[in-house]
Amino acid sequence: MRGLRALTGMALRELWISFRLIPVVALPLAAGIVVIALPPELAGVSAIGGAGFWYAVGASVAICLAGMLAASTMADERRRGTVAWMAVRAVPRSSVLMSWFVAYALLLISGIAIGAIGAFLAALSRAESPIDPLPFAAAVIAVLTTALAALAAGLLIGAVLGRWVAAIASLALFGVVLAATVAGSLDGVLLPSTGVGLLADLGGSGRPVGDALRAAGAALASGAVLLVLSAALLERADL
Amino acid sequence: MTRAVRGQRLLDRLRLVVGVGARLLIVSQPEESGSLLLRVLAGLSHASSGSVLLAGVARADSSPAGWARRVAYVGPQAGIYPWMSPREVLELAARLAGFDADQRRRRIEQAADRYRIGLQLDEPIRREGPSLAQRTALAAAMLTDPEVLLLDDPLRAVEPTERTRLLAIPGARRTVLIASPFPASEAGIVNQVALLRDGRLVVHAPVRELDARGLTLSQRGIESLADALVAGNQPTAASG
Repeated sequence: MRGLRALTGMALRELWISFRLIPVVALPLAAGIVVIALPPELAGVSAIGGAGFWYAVGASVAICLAGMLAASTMADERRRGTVAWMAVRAVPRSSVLMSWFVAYALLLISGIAIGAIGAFLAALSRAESPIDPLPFAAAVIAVLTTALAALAAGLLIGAVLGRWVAAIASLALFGVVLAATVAGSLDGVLLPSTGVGLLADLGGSGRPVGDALRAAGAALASGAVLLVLSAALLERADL
Repeated sequence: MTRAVRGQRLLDRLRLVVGVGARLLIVSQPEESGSLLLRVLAGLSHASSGSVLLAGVARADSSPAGWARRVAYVGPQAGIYPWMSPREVLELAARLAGFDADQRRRRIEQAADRYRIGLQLDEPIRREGPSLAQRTALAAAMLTDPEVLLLDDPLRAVEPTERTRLLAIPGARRTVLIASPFPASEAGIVNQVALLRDGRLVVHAPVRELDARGLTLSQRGIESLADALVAGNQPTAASG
């Protein structure tokens, strides 16, 4: 993809200068810190189960916000002519889209991964017996793929709707789906958000690693389809 | 070409032929028609039917040495991140056009000189306001020495005398199309006018046709010329 590296660098700089980088990285980190700071009465029956649940809640909030920001960013880039500036220089519109996806993905994945380490360390410190890290790690990987799918969905919404409509629509969509997933209302349905449900209920799955891998596969496949769709819609959009 | 937006035909079976080296002012009713026409020509919007042949090319290619160098577009919005400096913008534009380091440096120096942005070359654009952003956008467009330049109501934030100087684009074989809602402000910049009414080409004539009839380069003057030429059954006196 032509210019992807340079465009991603610009996207990261734009996120930094506009302060959008801070919530995308800080929210999942804060979620990890919240898990560490939880009082014992809220820490759950099992140390790893409690840490997983609360970290799933925090990561869901971060994914919602990042998805909303991705949607409003894409809509804003179309409105203020930056995509047009690139397009008239023969930069494929899909490269612009991908640069924003990569920029947001780098930040959100870093934040969630580091926050998850904090949450796991909190569980370790509370556990009275050794903890198998594999189910937790597999569920976190599934959450990361959920984050990627949410970013792709956000960019898709931003490729077709105006800034505020895109922001509100994406926030509503991700909020409802992730809240329902964390609450367990969508158990048994394989969705891009299933990874979050697995992390929220680590003890509820008989095959946590296998289920997490299935959830990750579903989220990655959905994310890829959404990205292709976003690129096709952006190609047809008026700039 | 034809294109409707929200049920309104902004381009309606429009056929426009512009010769090499023309400086064409496009005036339209509604105003969006002229802007849309330039965006279709630039590959930023799509016509629902019809085709475009621009600088001998039927459609945009992704080669840096092709479309990106031969056709340039400047819209009413600069499309530049305000935290960037003019040097960063020009450097990026030159890189995307595929110039090597020596060419980039030389072209950026020339652009900074012509567009009088040398003093602010390393300042963030936001610090100097929209005038610098618009001059930088035009400088970036001209960096590749394009054969066709599409200007959609450009440089409105620039002082009028300076604007006229900057829009007196050099190059006898360069074709310039300007869409403007204020024809009088383009006096001395263009040598042809075209009027689109409800998406159709009503008139395309040399500016000297206006002068010959004692009309001014204004909305009213162009409409009077259109009425006169239509009455004489020769609406496209400048085509070809």
